[in-house]
Amino acid sequence: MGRSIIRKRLLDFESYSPGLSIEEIKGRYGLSSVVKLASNENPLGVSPRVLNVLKEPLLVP
Amino acid sequence: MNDATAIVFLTTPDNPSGFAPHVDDLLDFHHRLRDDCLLRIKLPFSVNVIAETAGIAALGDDSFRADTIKTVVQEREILAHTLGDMGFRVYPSQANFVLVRPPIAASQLFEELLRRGVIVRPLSSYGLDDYLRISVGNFEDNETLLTAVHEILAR
Repeated sequence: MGRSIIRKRLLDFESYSPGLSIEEIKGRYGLSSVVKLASNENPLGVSPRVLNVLKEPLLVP
Repeated sequence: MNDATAIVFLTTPDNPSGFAPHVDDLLDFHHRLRDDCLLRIKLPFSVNVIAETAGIAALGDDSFRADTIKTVVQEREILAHTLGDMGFRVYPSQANFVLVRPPIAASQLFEELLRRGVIVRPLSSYGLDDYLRISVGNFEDNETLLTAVHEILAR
C-alpha cells in the first residue's frame, strides 16, 4: 500500500537502529539486573538538579 | 487497518490551537508506513518538552558535570588497561566510551554479554564488524562488565 505516496529515495535506506533497551534484555534472558554500556550513558546517572526540576509541573507552551 | 489507505499530515507542534501534540498521537495509521518510512526520516531520539526542560537544567549543573568528567577519566583508564590485558585492542579515547577489538568475534562476545546482562554496542551498522563500543560506566558497572568478559574468555 501507499507506494504512490512515498518518496522513492526513502525506499533505499534503513532506519537508524538504536541499541537494545534494558527491558528488552531483562525479558529475553530472564534477568533481574542489567548493565547498559551501549548508548552514551552517563556513569553517574541523572543529575539531582534535573530530577528536582522534573518534579515540578511542566508548563507546556 | 490493513487495507486502509491513509494520508498523513505531519505538522510542527506550534499549531494555532496553542497546544503541543506529541507526534505519536498523530500517527494512528498503518504500521508498515510508520515502521518502514517514518522512522527513516525522523530524528531517532525525539526531543520533547520534558527533554528540553531536563536538558536546560542539566546544562546548569556544573558540579554534576565536573563529577561526571572526573569519573569518566578515572574509570576509562581502568577499563582500557584491563581490557588491554585481556587481549583486546583498545583504541585511544578522549570520550566517554572506548572502541575495542575483542580477541574473539565481536558478535559472539556481544551475544554472550547480553546473556549475562551486559549491553554493549556492536558496530556492524557502522561497517565495523570486528569491533565493539563500550560506554565508560561507574566502578560497579565496569566491574560487572569486566567480570563477565573474563568468564566468557576463560571458557
